[in-house]
Amino acid sequence: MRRAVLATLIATVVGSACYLGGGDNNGQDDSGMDGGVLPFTADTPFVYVSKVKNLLTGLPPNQAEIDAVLAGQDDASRQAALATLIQGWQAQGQYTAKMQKFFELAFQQTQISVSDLASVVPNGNGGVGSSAQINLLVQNIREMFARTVLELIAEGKPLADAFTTDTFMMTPPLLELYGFMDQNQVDDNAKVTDRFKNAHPTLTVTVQDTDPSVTYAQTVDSTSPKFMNWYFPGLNTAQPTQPSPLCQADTRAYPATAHAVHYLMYGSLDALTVTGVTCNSFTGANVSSVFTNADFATWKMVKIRKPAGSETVTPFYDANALRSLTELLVDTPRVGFYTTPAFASNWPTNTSNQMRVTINQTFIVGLGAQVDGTDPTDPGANPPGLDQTHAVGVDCVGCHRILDPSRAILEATYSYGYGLQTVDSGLTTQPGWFVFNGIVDKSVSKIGDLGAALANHVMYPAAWVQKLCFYANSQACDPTDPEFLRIVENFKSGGQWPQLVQDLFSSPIVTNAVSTQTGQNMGELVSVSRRDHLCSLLNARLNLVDSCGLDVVKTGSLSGIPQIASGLPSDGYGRGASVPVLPAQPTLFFRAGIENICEDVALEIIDVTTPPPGAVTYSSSTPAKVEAAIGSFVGNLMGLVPTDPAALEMTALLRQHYAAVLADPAKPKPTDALRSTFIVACSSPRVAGIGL
Amino acid sequence: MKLTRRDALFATLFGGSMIGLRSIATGLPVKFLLDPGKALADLKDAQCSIDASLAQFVVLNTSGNGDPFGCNAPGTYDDGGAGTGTDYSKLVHPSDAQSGVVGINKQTISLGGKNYGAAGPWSTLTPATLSRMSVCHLMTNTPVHPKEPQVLQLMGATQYQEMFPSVIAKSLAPCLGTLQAQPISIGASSPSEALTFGGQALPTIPPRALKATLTNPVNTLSTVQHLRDDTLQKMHDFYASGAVKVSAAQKQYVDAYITSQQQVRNIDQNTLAMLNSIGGTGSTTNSDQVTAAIALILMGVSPVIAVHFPFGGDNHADTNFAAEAAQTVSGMAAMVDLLSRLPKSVNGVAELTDKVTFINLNVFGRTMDAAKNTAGRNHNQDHQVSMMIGAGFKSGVVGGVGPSNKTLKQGANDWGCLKIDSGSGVGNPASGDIDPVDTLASWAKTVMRGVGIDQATTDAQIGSGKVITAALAKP
Repeated sequence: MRRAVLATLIATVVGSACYLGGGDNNGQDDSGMDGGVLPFTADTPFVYVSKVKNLLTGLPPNQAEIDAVLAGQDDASRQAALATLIQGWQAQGQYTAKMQKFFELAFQQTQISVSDLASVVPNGNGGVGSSAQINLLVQNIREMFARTVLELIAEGKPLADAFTTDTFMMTPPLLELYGFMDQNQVDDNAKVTDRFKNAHPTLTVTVQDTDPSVTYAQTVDSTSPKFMNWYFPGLNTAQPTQPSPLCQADTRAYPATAHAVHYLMYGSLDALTVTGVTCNSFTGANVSSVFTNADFATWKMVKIRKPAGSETVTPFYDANALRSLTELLVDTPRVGFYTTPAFASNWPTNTSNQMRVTINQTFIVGLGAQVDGTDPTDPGANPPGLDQTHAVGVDCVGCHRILDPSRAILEATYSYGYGLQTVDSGLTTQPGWFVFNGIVDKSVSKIGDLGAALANHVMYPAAWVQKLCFYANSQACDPTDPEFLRIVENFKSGGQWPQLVQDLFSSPIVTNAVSTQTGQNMGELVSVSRRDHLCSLLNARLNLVDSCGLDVVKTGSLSGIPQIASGLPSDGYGRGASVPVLPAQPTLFFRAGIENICEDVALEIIDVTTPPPGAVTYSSSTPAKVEAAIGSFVGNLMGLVPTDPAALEMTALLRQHYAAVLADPAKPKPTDALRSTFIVACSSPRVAGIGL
Repeated sequence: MKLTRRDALFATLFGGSMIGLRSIATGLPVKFLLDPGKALADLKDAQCSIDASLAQFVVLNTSGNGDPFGCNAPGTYDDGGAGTGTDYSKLVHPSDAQSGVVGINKQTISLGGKNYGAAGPWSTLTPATLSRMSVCHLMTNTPVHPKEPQVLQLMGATQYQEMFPSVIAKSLAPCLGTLQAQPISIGASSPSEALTFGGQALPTIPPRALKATLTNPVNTLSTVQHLRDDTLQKMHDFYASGAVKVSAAQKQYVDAYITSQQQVRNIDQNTLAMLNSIGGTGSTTNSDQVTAAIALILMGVSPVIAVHFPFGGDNHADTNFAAEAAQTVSGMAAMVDLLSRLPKSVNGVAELTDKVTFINLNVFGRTMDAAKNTAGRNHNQDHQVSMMIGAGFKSGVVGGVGPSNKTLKQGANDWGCLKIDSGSGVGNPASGDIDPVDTLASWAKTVMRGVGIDQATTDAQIGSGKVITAALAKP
């Protein structure tokens, strides 16, 4: 009875979530439950095949796929048929794009902007810069680790390898950034050590627009007399306004700093002091950048390691060399997700926080749990790094005895600016202990050991199944559900991500084809199609490159939509939160936003002469074309196959709508009628929601 | 120590019972799940149960960064003659000379007939504003950033751990006739500052997205919008009718979706023109937030709008308090801007300045000891300043600062809030009927009363603390 009351309550106040009764496995309403219990209603293959394919690719199901599942004689065979379909979908590019978004969020590599990078590239002159290409670099930074994970998976490696990898998918500009950061070291006290400057104490960086014979190859060749002589055509044209004529010399001498060189690589000019006058910096001109926009879309796996023997660090300023190398030699170690510039700039630390935020977020990403004072693990006597002012008292010690020895792993390697640790010799000689939920590992000796400790932790498999549950259901799965445990056990055996996706997304824990403990305890949740899902759907089903303007490297965003998309509910993560922030309710803002997005798309693809390249287009020029368009709206956009019980009704309603518009006293044209019909289909609950 | 997988799961994310998991999964607070019968009775009421004429729109400024807003507020330079015994010379404030920011030096303002020192920007508030501004010294009892959601839940004091903005929104919405009961965040700088309602995460709507989202393009397609609404209603009816098998969750989704459609159609398109001044590129500015907040109020979209005006941010390293000084100037200017741009009337009925209350609450305050905070400030769980500006509040300073609460650690040897006498509002280190640890809940109860919510509802929604009658215009 308690469950009955609970079920009613949640259905009443939550809206989209409901508690399910015990239910059976035959998909029939359980109307015999006592009052107030929302009966379990099994979803049909028409619903769940559409849901799963949408979540994994953005594409609609086709009749053959639905039929393949319907042909199953029992629940198990239908589940197996769906798993087979998923395996096929995993070969599609849309799946890869969806998984990339998932991994970007799951590894907390997003939610950063140019300004956030100032915490890891500080020097008082604007961080990484602000040229037009910097947004491309920032997107590279966001995507780098997710692309690395996808590559490792494609190579057949288990997901856990991503925790310890020292080989990453990188672009030439990312290689430059890593090399630049290695030269522009910041310590615990925010003091910057310019290692490039120290290595070239007598060097001057010359910027000139008088000698076009100087080639870039000479500029970056340390044996050339033209080393660091940068030909910058249109030098003064780029900066017509300066505080003094002294700033407008055709040849300028910059101090040989890593930062000045980094700026020049992007066609930018650092601030310059000339006889007491501070000349303006210049944000950059792509024509003077050594990087082409294509460089930001050229990815390859690169191993990052320390120089050995007589090797020296890789010159960060030689873009041609960066384009061809497969190993980047730097002194700053890079391992796993928790050492990326994205993660570091997402979770900046300082002399007060002392890497605690970093280690806590690392636990959250790796193991799905945070340090909240409830972890009973006792690290034992004298754990390294324990803040003595927080070593006593129940308010503090519960967290600090876990956080402090663990964060010491990070402190031993990195400064608070995520450069090399150089200030506190006590920290560098004490690499810390891994302490978290039952595990006390005192054998940690290098930064990579942290990743290994995470990957070997007992909580790792379930944590990642749970992350995928959130992606699939917009809520948690019941971790005691036998079905959940079955999936976890499968994942533990080999740790293969593709297999996990097949297991989970074909499971009734996601399909709701059969009542599960998760369904009984958590209820079914039909969520709004959050930004990434909605935009992926539009891209996949209408063959648009980037309908929402979310990808600055690509082109093809439609006018107006990016502004609206920025207000759509989106997946996110908060500091110290072990579960993602997933708005699921259809608010008035969502409803209004999707309508306007659909209208913008309609204006681009219906009865237009220059649609986006490759886009699916529709025409109202003949009745047959209108009928074909409506058929596509139902089948392609709304994802209803011909035998779907709702397909006929939806088709009829769209036809009626088209006719009603034409009959309106305002006398709209067929183009308007078809566009309006598209908007209806595009903003229908089938597109706007997931799980209907 | 040997740990099984099950032990680990139970000990951490999911707790020892299914309650924690259910709470996470459904978004419903644990207390709600533990006492569902009472919850149902409490939450199903959507009638205006208070004097609607007293109901206020609320603009909440909140920061998960724990900005040093309270470090330069009235009551941190002196006690206005209250005799707290505090040596205010030991508290550090930015100066024009050191920070390089003109206008941050101490000025004197009058609150409730008493003179208080405050950072210069406070003196830019108009006498009319000061006459209805109450400045409350309280503590949030946490020094960690991730507790922003818990602070907004008043550290467990609200019923069912509902967020305070949602608590007041629920009570005010039916009285103000807003389109939705959920609060709206237009200023959250990260998901950490996102709001929840009934435990459900709410999206953050950046100001620049508002206009593009809500505006109906004027074209032929807009003339047949009613036909699209009709068709979508028929689609809803089809799913709701049982013509195809749908689960209860699916039906609830289509119901909610069609409700949101009706809400959208009630938006006053004319008011949206206000949003034209919002910038199209770059970061969200204070001015953008002010514009969006006023527009949302005028359109009657929601009773509570959350903004984030920076007042110095997480300024551990802030040499000469330059950032703190600059953002105190800009943040206070945003408040002045908001209050000055409120139109004189809503539908020709009342002065909007009498219908909007501004409040603020940060995750924590920051340390102030002059000897230890020379180039930035640390987190202070013992002190934070929340102000209320509105028709329901009486001018004055409530509480004050003194040596940190001895039971707490983070702010130890720094400065914390004092006990408060609820009747007089006076802060005192030794006497007062509100202990420091209860000041947060007491402030919240006071806000509820000041924005028009009755005592019974206030007491039912917040389980601890007491109303500070000294801060109310009509106790």
